Amino acid sequence: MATQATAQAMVTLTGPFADLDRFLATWSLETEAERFAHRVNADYADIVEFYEALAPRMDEIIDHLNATPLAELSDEQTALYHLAQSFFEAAVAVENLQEPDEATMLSPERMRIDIDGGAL
Amino acid sequence: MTDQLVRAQGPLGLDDAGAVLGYEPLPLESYHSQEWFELERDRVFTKTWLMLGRVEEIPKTGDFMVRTVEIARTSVIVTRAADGVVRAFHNVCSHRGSVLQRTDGCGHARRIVCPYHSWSYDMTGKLTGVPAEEKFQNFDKADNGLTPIACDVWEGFIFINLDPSPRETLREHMGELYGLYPGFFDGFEPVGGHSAVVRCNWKALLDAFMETYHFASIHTRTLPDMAGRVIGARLYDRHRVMATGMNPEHAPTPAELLAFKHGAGINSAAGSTKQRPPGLNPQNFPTWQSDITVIFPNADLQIIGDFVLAMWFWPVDRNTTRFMCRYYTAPQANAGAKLTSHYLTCLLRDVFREDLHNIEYVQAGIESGAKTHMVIQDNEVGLRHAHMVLAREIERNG
Repeated sequence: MATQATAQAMVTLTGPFADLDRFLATWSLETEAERFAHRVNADYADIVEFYEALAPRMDEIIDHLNATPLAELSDEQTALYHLAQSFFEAAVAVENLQEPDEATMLSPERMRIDIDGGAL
Repeated sequence: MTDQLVRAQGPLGLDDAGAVLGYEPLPLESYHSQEWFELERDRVFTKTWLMLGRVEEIPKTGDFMVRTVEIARTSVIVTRAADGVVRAFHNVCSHRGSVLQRTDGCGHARRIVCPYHSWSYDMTGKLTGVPAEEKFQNFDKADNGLTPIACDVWEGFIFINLDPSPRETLREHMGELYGLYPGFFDGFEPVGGHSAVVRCNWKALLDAFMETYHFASIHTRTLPDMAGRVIGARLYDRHRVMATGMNPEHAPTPAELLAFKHGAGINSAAGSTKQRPPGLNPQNFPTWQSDITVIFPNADLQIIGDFVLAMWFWPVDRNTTRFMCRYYTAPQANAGAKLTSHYLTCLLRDVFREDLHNIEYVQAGIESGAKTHMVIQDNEVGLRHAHMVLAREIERNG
């Protein structure tokens, strides 16, 4: 997993999404387990920064990804897809919890991810 | 009581359930008693049909699904053979009785090989390989296949029955639910899945998924004003459907708006992309959000537009439960559809973590013995029905 995350970080976002490239290394994570673990352990300020940068761009990101068949997404588009997945992870923290995690929830390590959510 | 659970003209609803089922407090004994747990093992979980998963989880020849069924003290393997047939077996080697596939979940193999001495079986359960076979005397591979388990499929959902001679067919078990969703789930694929082992009786957790009274206390942040409250019930002979309604004044968050915009299939209000089957919102509630179809004894399907949430409450012991959920949707054509259903899996993961955290305190309170009964309101009528059905099935299978 660490290798995949590293490989993902090697990709660079260009064109209309070049400004989001700064989030790739931390948020473009391939698996739900990685994204979930990252969110619950992140500083809330970092989650908010990521959320606020992505929120106004999500329509554009989704329209861009929708224009390519899923099986033909480039490495760059795949990295963008994982970034968009992380947006929804961050959205739960920002829009619902107003913190990275909640004390009155089963601890994250006890929740097993059996099927990777939204895997390509 | 037994014959009163269903009216001649149809299932009991919220309006008339009380008159038939009564208003008495419900005993808590079955939530902690070892004797009850053993009755549930002997008369329910080893006698009735149990839902395991979907056929789309094992689509190809050689695919298999493994589920440990702790209460029945066995592990089950469901296979897809070259003839396309889905079969179930005890996941146990004929040689020295070892468990074969040792990890729950889905996998793919040409053969099922025992890790102990490498005996191997094909997907029809036939023993095909025995190292040093010539050393076994009076031995015929044909007599040593896997032990079959009754297996059948309803609307793409795989069921097993651990009784070597099931008393009824799956069709009989499904009863009134049988024809309610014809073809609706066809092609639904798993797009996520979570599980956790929690310290509670399985019924305590199931109870939490049959009422919405707790939303305004437990889910204040994850489901702030959606408050899908129970607006209708259909209490059948053995199963039940609780309908939940959307709060018309709900203010969607930006992520929710995005999800609804790019994945209309997950928004009940926008309508499903499929034709609505007769079993879904037959009452035509204008604010309908979802139907929670509870399949006896331990599974439910929450149907939200084209998004189906399957949940299982697997008893491990009298105060331990393995919670399992699987998210299924119609095939997703593009990234937008995938991302929007993933929003729901992220949000629901936290909704469920709230339930799972809370339920351990419920169990702890019950175990204290301070209370012998629980008091039930109209919104919680599903619990009352579940209690009556379980007691009756235990009596019936005695």
